Amino acid sequence: MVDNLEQRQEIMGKIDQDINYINDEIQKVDKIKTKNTAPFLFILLLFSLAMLYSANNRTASTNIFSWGSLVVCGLLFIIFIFILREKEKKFKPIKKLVDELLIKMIGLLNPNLKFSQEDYVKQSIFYRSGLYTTAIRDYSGDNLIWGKLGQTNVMMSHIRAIKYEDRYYTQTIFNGIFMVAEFNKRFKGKTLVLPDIAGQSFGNIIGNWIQEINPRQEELVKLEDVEFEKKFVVYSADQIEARYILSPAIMEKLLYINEKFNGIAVSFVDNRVFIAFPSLEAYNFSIPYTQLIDKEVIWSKYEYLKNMIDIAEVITSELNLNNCIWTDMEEIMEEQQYNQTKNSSKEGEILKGSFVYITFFQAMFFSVLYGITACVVSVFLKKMAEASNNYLIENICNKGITSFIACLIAGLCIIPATNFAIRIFGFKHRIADYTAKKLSLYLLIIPTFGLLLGVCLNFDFISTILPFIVFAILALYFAARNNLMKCVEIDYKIHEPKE
Amino acid sequence: MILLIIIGIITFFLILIYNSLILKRNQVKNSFSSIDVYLKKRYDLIPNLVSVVKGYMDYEKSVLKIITDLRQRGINSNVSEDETIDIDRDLTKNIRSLWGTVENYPDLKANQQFLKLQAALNDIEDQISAARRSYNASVNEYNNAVQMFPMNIIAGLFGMKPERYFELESTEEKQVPQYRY
Repeated sequence: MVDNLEQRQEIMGKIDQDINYINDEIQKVDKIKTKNTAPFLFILLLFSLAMLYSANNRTASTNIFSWGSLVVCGLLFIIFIFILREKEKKFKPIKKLVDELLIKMIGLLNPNLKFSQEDYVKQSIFYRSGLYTTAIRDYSGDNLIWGKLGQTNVMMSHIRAIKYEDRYYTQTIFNGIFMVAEFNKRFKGKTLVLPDIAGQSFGNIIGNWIQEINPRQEELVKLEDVEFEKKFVVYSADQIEARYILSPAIMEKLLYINEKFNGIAVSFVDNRVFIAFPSLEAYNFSIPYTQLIDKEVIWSKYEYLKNMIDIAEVITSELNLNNCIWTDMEEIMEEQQYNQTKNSSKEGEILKGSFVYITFFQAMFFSVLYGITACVVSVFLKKMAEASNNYLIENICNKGITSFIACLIAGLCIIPATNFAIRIFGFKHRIADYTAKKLSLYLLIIPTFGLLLGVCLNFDFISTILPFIVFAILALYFAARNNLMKCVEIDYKIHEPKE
Repeated sequence: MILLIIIGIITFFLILIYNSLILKRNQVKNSFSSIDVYLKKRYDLIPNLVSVVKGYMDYEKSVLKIITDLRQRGINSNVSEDETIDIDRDLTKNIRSLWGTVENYPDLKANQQFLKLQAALNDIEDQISAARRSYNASVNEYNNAVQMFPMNIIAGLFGMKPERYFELESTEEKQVPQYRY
């Protein structure tokens, strides 16, 4: 513990100056932002309230006023989005500074390694490992570390691969650390070492039977190490080659590694070893560049990266990869590079978006959008009621049920609408579905609860909307506090992945 | 009629079992021939090794002679399987002892050609050991089949005997290195 503290002081001392510098820069940009947009938001809210009020009074003059304010709201909304884009541009130099800081941190850990917070091991490489054969719909990652560790070229990053069960349910195929390294032996075929789920859950005989009817091209390899056979199932294109790679010593070491990082899957393809650690806690740990940098966060990031490098070191030393006489990692690095250039020219299957950091401020933007949509729908319904000349419908409108329905529709529309708006105005990202679900839950259920309360207490239209606003702000506050609006980095797909 | 059906079923199972036994025996033969391939590769390297080492080593001439003799016996085309197993075991043992003595010859250890040969031989050694283990796995499967009921009756009928394993004689090979974590 003392050792840890000393180490921390030493490391933090080296990067303290950089952090302070970045924080100063962020504060400068922050000031510009709030000065510009705060009155703007206020006017927008005022107009929407005016619109709501006028919609509630049925005279000719207010009718014009309500339509007029609708147009003004729309215009203001467009300007608002432009301001948001402008702000993102201002954060660009800060992003560079943060990146440099992180690279410096990696340099302190190991000077031979390179690092990029936004990059990750490419999907084609992930597929090439042969460990996961299902078609992936959402593939993302972060914290790419690559370079020479000892004498071995390694590349590793956090990867999150998701497939869609149907339109609404997703299934995570892999979420963890994925690593590629050169192997110290040469081989031609593909050898897979997978966790033995069948054997562990059905026992030896039935498990063995299940293993033999495998859907893969590779044949089942039965190895003589009993302990190894209990934990893993091995498939290979070549029986002898599988045993050549999995020598008794390697098997022993893989068992040890498996004990340490539970549930690993390993494959040996093209003279490389691919290791997937699904059990490693691999949350999306990115340093935001729109918020002041917390030293606590920086330290945990440092520890996170150190942990990753430690894993790589365990692998290279345990598998004796440093004895490698062959070097052909260049090829895979080229593939990585190639993909990156391909992406930037928008021809690849994935176009990588830049960061979106949904701050509390940006969340307000969503709520305004939400409110405006609610207003528009309620105005529309109001007009319908006027046209119908039906007492009952009018009565319901005036009781505020209209606003309830409108807000419900708005709540359902909010995420698609924001995504649509973001896409139209050229941001290269959308809100990740899983975050959006939680976000819409907060934004929908809590304000709707407030509305219902208002309706039950028999308030009129304006007084029903008041609890709605109060509850919406509360919902946003809780959403922000629970980190639901944390950094979301998303791949924006132009084409379907080939598979 | 019923008797006929019973006989039919029994013959069907007999054929099935017989075929599976033959399949397994052929698998054993097949994996043995793949060991042969690697053994030949090693035989090809031995003359080079001997010629490089000869210049440096004065005292270990006897080891070199044993290795050369074993090679001569090995490349002979009419060696039996059992003999091949023995030759391979002895050769592995002797090459290992040769590596042990290399420590006494710093000049030899600095020779690039020797180092390359050593790396190549070690690699082939690994491949042979993989092939051996593969052979043992198929022998194990075959032996299980031959000795288990009811296959053992049919195997006895057709004179199929359990095959011999490739024994791992040298202690280094048996022992998995101990790692301290």
